[in-house]
Amino acid sequence: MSGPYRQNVKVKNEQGMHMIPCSRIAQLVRETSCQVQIFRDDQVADARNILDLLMLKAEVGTSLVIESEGEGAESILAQIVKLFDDDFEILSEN
Amino acid sequence: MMIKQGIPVSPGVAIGPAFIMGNEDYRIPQRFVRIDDVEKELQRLDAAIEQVCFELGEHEELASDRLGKQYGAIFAAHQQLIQDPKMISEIRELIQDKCFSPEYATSKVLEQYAKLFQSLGNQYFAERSADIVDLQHRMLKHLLGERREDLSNLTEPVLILANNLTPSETANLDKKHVLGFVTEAGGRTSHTAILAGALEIPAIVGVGEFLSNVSGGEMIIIDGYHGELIIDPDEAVLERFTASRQRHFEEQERLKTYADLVPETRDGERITLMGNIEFPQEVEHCVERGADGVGLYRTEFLYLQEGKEPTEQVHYEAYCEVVQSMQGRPVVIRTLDLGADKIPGALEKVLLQNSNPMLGLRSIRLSLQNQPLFKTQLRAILRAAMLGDIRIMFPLVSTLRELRQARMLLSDVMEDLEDEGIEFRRDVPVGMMVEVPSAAILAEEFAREVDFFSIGTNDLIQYTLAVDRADPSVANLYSAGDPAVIRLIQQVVQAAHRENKPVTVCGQMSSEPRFLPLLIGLGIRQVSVTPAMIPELKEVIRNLDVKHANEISSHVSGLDSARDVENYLRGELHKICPAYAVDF
Repeated sequence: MSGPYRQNVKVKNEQGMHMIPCSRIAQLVRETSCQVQIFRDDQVADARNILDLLMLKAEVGTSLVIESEGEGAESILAQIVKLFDDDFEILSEN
Repeated sequence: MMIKQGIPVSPGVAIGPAFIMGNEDYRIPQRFVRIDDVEKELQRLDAAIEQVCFELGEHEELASDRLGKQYGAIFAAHQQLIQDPKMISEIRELIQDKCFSPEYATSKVLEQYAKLFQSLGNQYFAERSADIVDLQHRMLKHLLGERREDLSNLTEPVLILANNLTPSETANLDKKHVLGFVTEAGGRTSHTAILAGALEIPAIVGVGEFLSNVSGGEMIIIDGYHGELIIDPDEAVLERFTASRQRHFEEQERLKTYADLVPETRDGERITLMGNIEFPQEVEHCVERGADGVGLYRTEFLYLQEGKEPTEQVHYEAYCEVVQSMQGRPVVIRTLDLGADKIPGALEKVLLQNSNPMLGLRSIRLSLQNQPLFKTQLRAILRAAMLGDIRIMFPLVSTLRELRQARMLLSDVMEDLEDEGIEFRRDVPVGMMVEVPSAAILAEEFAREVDFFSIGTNDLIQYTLAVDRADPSVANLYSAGDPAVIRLIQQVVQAAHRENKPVTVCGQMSSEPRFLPLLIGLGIRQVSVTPAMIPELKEVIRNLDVKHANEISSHVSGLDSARDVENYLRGELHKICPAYAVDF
């Protein structure tokens, strides 16, 4: 067991945390056994659940806190942060 | 095994797998599963999720290749969404704890999310609810499987179960694949019921709520003689009905030999035996059984088909098809006869506002108050009459004034056509239905002003006895054997004969073999019947002599109850055609 690890991120995507960003995060987390939570103020979402993530209603510019715990928690946190930094590879993949 | 009772509207026995058909694209029967089946149902849910994922994966690939990765990503997101552990566990809980069916549980959970998104007040999220609805449809498609497939994709014969069928759905049923149908809603005179008879497949309507007991695919039996729907029959019952179906087939085959025989009594009286139709395609049923014509062409379907008023061209094409197929034999076109019981949708609401729709604005009354609608139909009839022996018949005439008004409008239409230089036939025979007691009582006066009568027994019985046969609490009072009804028919026949006008009987009564000898005894020489009954009625006619028919009629005139009349007629029929034991 390692963590919990914590990091702040800002939503860069113009459309906010919509279906595709949320599904990318969930997909990543579901491949691990980590416990990952994303906080927006006092609201919390289990990162495995797309619907939970969507319900954060994180629009562009929103500050979020990602918290991970469990085996490989540090690495998964880094990968999620990278997704945010790369704006979820939505455009770069083209 | 479970037996449900409904109203039999088309005879015969059908046996086969159930196919549930919804009114909307993906209607979910709100239903539960048996507690023992929960495990099986959960597996069905898992399988559906797996299939949906696979399907979405294919879409993702296709979209990425053709449109670009960001489009593929949408499907990838859907794929993740449908595997969302929170959502899946919510669905599973509903199945496990409440015994909801996977279809119902999935819809309930996804609908909740869709609503939630919509309520978030953010345009973007509101649009996401469409994604959820899309997923819901995908899931349902897989869960309901073949059962929800389009009817046109059917490859093996099924029995259709539905809450209700629209007229066009019924009309589109392919007899090759649909062996019969049962609906929760509907009455004996509902449009669906009439269509079932037209299709000549066993059918039951008005069963009440039963879809919650069926999931589709199970063996069912439709007994169209007695109105019984049997779900999951046991061995003995299945055997009994298989035998009954076999007898029905054999009987049909035997009766086919009557197609080319002339309906003539043993003492040489030729009876004109015509068919009642609703759709142009039904003409075939009349022709192949050797009908002498179409004695009643109901035109309501033209009005119900599209949910809007048919154009003159739509009328014209339908009439042309019928008259051409009949190759010179007469075709009696009845003008619009919509009653409150047959009108769907918006019009229904207007009509049902009246406390007593059967006594309200219907049929010829509706036509006279909507002259453009009426004239459109009359124009088409007059034009089509160029192609063959077409006759016009006005329904539900209750006063001479109405008849005269209708005739006057007909003259107006002729004048219009003449002015426009459009070809039409001027000497089209004009007749009326005798189905209101007032018309029967004044039959002699009416007879002077029409070319023919056609007695519509269904309404005549209803209005004479003041009985709605769709109302189970009084339906037992409804009988074609009622002495008052028979007396009225006799008066109409006598009045018509005095004026030398032909009279036909076109109601349900003439399609029932036991009443035919009585009608002939009363002086009727023309009947128009359900096409399927033509061979049987031919057999009755060919085994009858007019002398016997006259005796039957005079014996009946001495009976004073409907039950005595019906029992007596049943006995006489048995003497005429011993083949007709109990089943008919």
